[in-house]
Amino acid sequence: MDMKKTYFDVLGIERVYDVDRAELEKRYLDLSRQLHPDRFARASAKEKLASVAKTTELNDAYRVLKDDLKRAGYLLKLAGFDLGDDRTAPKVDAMTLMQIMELNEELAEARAERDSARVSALAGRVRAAREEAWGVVEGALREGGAEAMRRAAQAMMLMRYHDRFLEQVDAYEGATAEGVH
Amino acid sequence: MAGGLYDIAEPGESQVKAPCPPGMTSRAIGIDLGTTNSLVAIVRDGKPEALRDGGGDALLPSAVRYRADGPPVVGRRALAEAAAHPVDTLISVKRFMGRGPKDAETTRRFTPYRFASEEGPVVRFAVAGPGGGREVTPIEASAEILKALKARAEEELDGPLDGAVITVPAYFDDAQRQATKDAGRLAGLEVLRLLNEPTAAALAYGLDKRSEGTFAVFDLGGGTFDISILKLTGGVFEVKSTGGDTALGGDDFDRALAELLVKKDAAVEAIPPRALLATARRLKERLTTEARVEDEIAGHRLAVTREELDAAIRPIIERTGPVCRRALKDAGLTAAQLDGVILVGGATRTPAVRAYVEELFGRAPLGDIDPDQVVALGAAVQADLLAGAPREDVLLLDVIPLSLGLELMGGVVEKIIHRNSTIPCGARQTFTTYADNQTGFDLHVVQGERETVDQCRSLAKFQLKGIPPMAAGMARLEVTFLVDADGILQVAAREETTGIEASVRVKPSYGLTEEQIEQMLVDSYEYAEEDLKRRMLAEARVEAERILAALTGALAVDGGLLSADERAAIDGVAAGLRAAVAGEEHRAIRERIEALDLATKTFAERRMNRDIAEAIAGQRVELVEKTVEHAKGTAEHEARAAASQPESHPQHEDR
Repeated sequence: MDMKKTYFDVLGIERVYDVDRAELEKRYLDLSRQLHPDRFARASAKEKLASVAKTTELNDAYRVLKDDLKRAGYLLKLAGFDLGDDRTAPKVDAMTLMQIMELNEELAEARAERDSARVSALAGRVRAAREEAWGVVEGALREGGAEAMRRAAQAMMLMRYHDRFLEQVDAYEGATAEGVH
Repeated sequence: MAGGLYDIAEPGESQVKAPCPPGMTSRAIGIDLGTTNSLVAIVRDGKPEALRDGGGDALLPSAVRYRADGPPVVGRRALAEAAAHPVDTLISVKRFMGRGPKDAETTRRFTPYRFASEEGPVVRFAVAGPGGGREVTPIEASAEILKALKARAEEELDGPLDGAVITVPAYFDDAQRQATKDAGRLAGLEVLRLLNEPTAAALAYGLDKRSEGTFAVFDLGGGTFDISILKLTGGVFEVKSTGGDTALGGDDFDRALAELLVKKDAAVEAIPPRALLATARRLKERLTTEARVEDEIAGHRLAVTREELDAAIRPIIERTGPVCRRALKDAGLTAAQLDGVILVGGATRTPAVRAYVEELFGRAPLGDIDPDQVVALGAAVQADLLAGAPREDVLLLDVIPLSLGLELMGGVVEKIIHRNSTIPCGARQTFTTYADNQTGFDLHVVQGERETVDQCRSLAKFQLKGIPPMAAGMARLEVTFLVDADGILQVAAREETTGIEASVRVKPSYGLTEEQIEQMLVDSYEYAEEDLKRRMLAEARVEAERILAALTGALAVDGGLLSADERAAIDGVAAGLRAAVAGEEHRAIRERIEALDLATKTFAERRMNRDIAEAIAGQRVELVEKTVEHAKGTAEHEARAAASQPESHPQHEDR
């Protein structure tokens, strides 16, 4: 990993999962007031560019840190598990994948049959599983340490499968709701 | 990803500023460049005010008449002469900003214009000019309007200006923003900032009323519709979400009413379009206060009631509903959680619009600042802040209205920057090569919410060439998107292993018609399931082709490890997969991929065993590790192909 400033450094807060929301927002707004391009509209070209660059960095940092999921993913990336990179993302174990595959098949069937009750029952199961995985992520991030980080990363990878599943449920429900309209 | 990316210099404390002391008049102006009317405003003694022309009018009709024997005429006079010179008088030119001749605006009913060309990225009108005629673009026509406003301000301030803030619909895309900025430059203005219209309105409103809380700004102008959800706290104006339709406005009411008149009496159709629209507009305005109006049209006396008008425009007004609901959803709010709804834009005077907004948000809207002026007033406040009177307590945090992305293999869109991200913002993502020995990347930048590239707006295409031949997946292409405070995008690409770079200031390539965009905006929800299928199909095809290519390569090198029967069996299954790829069913492709994985299992094992044996024989531990890693990768790949596979292509930086 690079040794550059982290998003936590950008906002000047401690690198932990549990951040103080009010403090985070206050720092963001204070820094925005100082750095925003609106304050440099008549400054030199160099200063304008710098202001845009700094504010971009600040906005990116705030977007990630204010969101629990994004912050969790970012902490894992800092710990060496970039979930978007095949080379560093941990693998979900085969048993769990099999279960998801079966759920996906059931969902495809239920969708094909327009069986909305079954779709929402399946969605309920996956939402519960996602909640559980998220509990693991949060617990492990609070615990800290290399092994806990790996566990958190694995659980977050699993949540991606859940999200993909729930996206399909949303698409189905969106389509049927529009149909009624 | 943090740091380094955009480091150029520290913003110093030595900003060059000419502070405007209280009680003075700022020389920076705010301009509302509207579809129907435009305004200019300044801040005088700490209060924004719209500037009036000699006749006392603040509104300058956005009409430009080109002449053979003199400079263009702008405003009320141009509008008055429009019926007599329909082809040479450009009205509602904002609708054509950033649009090409193939876009639907050019083919609408009741359009009197002559278009100079069917081709090219920009609309060109053929109008009167010295020596038999000239061609003008919407940018040039807009610049004429801006010049007239600039002259008005220079006269009022008795001298040169300190720059201008020009407002744009929040939902303007990159091409439309660029066009507006270009028009400003063409008019000789220093464009300090493009400001979103609803944000400008909120600024004027919030500072005037000292309001705190969460507000929806419902802005229906002559040709554009915006909805923005903003949080106002302690001088911070934070846009939570925005939505809209850049081809929906009061103009459409006029058209609907014109069609109604034609339906009432076929003789009306004989009236030239411009005159008919003007009549419709007049009747519409009278129906704001009257329940029934009568007029002499085409020699017949025709009556229209408010009820008839309401029925005719109801379908147009209802198009705002889904847009508002989505904006609320994006902001994570319900209508009940809002502290107020602010009405902006002349079209919100129409009683049916007010009634619909009340119905939609479950509360009576606020409209106590002149809805025609409030945007220009907000722009003047912002101009004053930017040019010389920075107020520590005021901060505007605006967002990008539409997601920005790149085309991936199979025509799928990978969103790089998501809609409603606070600007300026940036994102960087890494991609890799799809084929062996690929020496270039074609980058196609698009804007929109849909999943496939043919349903988003094409913004730019560029190439990164000269990458040395490498195996598929080895090159690492890093793409950086940067959106500035005006909402305008810049894209840079760099191949990491070689350092080859390319970048573009995105200029439009106009891949889409207006019709398609309208669809894209309004019913992306409706199409969600269809999109998902399309995406899954595209992904399955790419995956299948990659596997087939790998198999072909492996068979060419190690085909000797197989018996004739074994080889025939694999060829048969591979042919089945090729057939499925040609079809439209992603599930069929997934099934055949699984079948091929199964059929090639023995082959893969033999190759692996042979590699390991060779490696051990050569005592090359390094290679053994690599091979084992590769084998793990294969097993993982099988598992992923079986489950529905999340995010195969992109290498996300953060989430």
